[in-house]
Amino acid sequence: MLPERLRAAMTPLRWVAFGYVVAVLVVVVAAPVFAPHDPLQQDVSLRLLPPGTEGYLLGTDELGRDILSRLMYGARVELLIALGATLLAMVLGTLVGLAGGYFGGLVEVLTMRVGVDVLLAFPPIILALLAVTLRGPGAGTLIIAMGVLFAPTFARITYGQTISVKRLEYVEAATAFGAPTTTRMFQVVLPNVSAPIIVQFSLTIANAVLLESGLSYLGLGVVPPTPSWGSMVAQGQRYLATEPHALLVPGAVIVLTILAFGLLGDALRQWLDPKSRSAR
Amino acid sequence: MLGYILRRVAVGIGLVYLVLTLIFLALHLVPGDPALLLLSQGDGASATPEAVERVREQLGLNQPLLVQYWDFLSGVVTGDLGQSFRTSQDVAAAIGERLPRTLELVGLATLIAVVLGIPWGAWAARRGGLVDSTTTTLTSIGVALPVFVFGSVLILFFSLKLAWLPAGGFASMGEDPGRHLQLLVLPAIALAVGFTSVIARMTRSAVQEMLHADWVRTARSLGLSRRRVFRRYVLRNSLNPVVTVIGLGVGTLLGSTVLVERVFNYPGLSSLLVDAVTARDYPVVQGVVITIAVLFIAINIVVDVIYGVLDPRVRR
Amino acid sequence: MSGSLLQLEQVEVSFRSGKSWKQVTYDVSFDIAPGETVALVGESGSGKSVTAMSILDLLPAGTRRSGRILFAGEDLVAADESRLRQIRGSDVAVIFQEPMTALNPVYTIGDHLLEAIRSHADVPKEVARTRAVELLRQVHMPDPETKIDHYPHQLSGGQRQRAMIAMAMSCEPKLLIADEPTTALDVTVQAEILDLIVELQRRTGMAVLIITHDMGVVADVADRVVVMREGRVVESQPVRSLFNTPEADYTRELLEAVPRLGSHADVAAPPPPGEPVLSLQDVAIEYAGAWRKAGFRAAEGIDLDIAPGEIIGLVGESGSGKSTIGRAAMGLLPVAAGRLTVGGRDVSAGGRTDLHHIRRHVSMVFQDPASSLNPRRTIGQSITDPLLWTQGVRSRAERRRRAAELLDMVRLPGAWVDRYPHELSGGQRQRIGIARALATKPALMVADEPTSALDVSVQASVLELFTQLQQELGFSSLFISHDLSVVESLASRVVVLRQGHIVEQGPTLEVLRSPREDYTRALIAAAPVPDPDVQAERRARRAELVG
Repeated sequence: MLPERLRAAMTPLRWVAFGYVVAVLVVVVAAPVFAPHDPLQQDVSLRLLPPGTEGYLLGTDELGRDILSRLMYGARVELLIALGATLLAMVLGTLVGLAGGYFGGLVEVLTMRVGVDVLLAFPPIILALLAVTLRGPGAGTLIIAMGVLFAPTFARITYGQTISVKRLEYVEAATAFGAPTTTRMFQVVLPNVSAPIIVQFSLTIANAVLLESGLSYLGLGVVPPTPSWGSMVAQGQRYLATEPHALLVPGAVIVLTILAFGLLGDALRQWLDPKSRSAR
Repeated sequence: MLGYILRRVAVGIGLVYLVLTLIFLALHLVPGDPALLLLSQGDGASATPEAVERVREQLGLNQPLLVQYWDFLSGVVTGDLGQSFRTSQDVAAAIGERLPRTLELVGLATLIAVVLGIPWGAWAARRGGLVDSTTTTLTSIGVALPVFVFGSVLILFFSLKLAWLPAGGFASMGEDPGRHLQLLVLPAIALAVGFTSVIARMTRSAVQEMLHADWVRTARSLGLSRRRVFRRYVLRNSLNPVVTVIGLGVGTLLGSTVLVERVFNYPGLSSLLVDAVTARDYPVVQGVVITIAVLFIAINIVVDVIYGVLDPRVRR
Repeated sequence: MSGSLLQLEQVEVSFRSGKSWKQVTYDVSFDIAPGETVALVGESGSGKSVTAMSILDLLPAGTRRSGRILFAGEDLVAADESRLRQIRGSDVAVIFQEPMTALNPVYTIGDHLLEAIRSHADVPKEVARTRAVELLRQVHMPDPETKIDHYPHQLSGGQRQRAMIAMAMSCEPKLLIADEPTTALDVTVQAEILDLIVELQRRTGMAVLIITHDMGVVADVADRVVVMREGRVVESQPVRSLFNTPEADYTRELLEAVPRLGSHADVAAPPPPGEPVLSLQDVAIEYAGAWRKAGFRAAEGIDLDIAPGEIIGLVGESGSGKSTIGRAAMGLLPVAAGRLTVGGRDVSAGGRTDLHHIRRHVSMVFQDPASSLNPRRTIGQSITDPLLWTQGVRSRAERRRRAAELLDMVRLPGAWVDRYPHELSGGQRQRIGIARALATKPALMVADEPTSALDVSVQASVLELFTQLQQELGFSSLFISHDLSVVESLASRVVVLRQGHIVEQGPTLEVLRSPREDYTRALIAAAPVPDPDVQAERRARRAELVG
């Protein structure tokens, strides 16, 4: 049923990752349906219940809030920001890389050398912190900041691919047979450079979750009391010695989510872009 | 080769200039009055007019833009990064105090990652089979581990449960070298785990690719031993992409110290940054960001030079 | 023993594919006597390279050999790795097709040579280096003392191959295996390299196993020939009798398919003169340089006219500017100086309307069938895209109908419109390339080495199709090729290029039979003819000249 290359790429572990991602997406859409409690409802008498307590499957935090419900609502925030930022990054980066690679010359200098290289001179989290300082924390700031700072990766990938595809004879043939520039860029080149971009999309979601949870761990992500995975880890850290579940549970969810998107990226790469070489 | 190095340094200096311009513009391109923006705590509470005026004065916002730009650039070049809003401490001095600690951490983590990652990746690619698939799985997990989660787990086991190592803090090398080193171990491991995985993965895929290079067959046709062929014709050529990844990875590592220093309560450059961001102490934030960016650019120049040494085709 | 140096008995090679094995060669047997040159010929997929590489077990991991390979009486299939290692590079040496990728880019030529010398002899570095310079001198490397410290990318293709040969000669092997050693090189360089191999063979008495697809090379150097097809030996004979009385049908077809220079008495007659379809007057073409660097002038002073219905052959070696001129005629490169006229209109300025004019009258067939079609579009779409782009034919149904028609013209089933390029063979793809070039009913077709990536038998059928279509439809063509015999078989006039300048041009027969210029003569002399007697005569004459 599945194409052979896809079947070969989907190892059992990657199927599990796929299932997990689907489950997370379902939770994102229908968090109110699944969440057993109001994620903001506090009850000090129920504070720091261990996992497995009746009605509180994953236990409660130091304010007596249900961890499972907070994770579910946290998934909404997390994935909204990650997907939003990644989409923005993909569109920006692909356009910039395509233009830089296709036109070369001054356009290339302005896009790749000035734009991309300057952004890549910062570790992503540092630039995000600069944005937070200037605009204050919040989902909007994060999506825009992360969208801009993940764009260079897409730009570099698209640029590199465009440079090599541009040399192929079918692009020259399109020119020779009179295809307009936009046709050549978007109908001839773009479809042929898309595989690594799709792969990068999945990997960037993983990176965005990593970065967002890091920022909210520092208290610089979304504004409390909105539940977020990173801030749950930060809160749990205070009770690490006695009630480690308050840290380990949200921590595990972050790890699993990043891992799942990373594994899907690996599967996509093996399926769509088997020749490429990457550390991720 | 010298020409290549000089060219790379020149490009690096140009990049530093662009980075500085971007940071300068960042403050002015954000919609709204920068002074008001910095004083509002994100909750819309308005600041007193005196406070706004003070911020304006300190950041020189009352002057024409070009004058500000010139003052900013000449300040950076002469090492004057302004004063902290909160403590009025000289920003450059504060950075000077904190920077070596963070560099020590990053250096140690890089060392661990390189020393473990390259042989691990090479071994996995060469052995194949179970070793290879285990490596793939482990490194997938390694890159997915956020440092603040993994760091906390390290504290939980090695400090709280086993009590082998301290949970965090700092001791200067001069006062207590033993404790200084003890305190470095866990943060460095937390930082290194992801980086080791990245290096191992890149080495693995580069080695796998180079195993099929034509020149490997040539080397075999000369009657060289397998070991020699692997070392000189596979591993040697695999280093080029690995070096690139190491350069990029050191930058990520610099960024990750922001989280690790918080987890381990380590008073380095990055915790200075986080405190400043939280307090919206703009001069400090700006100073640290500039420092880290310049550092990263410098690292990349070094990496490019190493790349040039490794690959004669790029040095022209 | 029976006096052979190398004897293959029922050698079979299989590749692992997943859990099963896929056999690629069957029952391959032949032998080589000391000092003899045996050519192993065949088209792509014949198993000739696999067979050659199996001798020293230089195949990739996951390959299985069976049968017996006796070298000086010793079975190399049964030999263990350490024994094979002793033989590799000392008794049996190998040179490869792509001297660029066969040499490690991070080491100098000297590093490579030292590695070769010291792999079998424990000599100090200084001694090895002296020997390395000596070896480079033996292979006639210009300026060996300097070149020894160069990296592979700093040498020309021919020099790299010389370095490769020097490495192979380092231990004076008894057998040299040469895997398509000249395929990546220009003909004049090819001739030099073949001469070098023959010279070294005479001096050292080594045997040579040369793997090639080129019947001209076979006729030039081989004593005996082994023909392979689809993993099997079809026949093996001494070179003269193979060419004169081939036994297998396949060998006969192969020999017939090879275009022969000088065999076309009836070269196409020049058409009646008319207003030229394409005219270049003192044209120069430049590639834009990098920032603040001067552009590279790839062609200069080009004068050329193509009459309606005429095929002009544009020949030259790499770097001669032949493709550049083709691209300029297609409007893909701007004209830096001079006048370019298409269908009577001056289009030198290269403005929007000029380009539009060019694209209505000129079309192009590209060289590489693997990359000239967009892999993401069906062949039907690829063929008719030009209609959409240059003639604004928007109706899908209309384009589909035309696609089927065009497929029919190039003798492919009309039902293939929905197939993708990867489902087709190289020859079929090149037919698609021709169909696409016919879509706009052009007055002129630029054909840039359309058959150089194809096997000879496929090349023959594509050329036949091209000629038929040209006679039917009457378009003119600028036919670019490095192969003189291909050009001779279809062009009425020939233009010979060298380093961006026209060396000479004129009617095909005149230029190719009685060239006026030395360079043309050298080019003709260097192109090996698939006839052992002619080649033997040429070689003797060359040897006399060298003294």
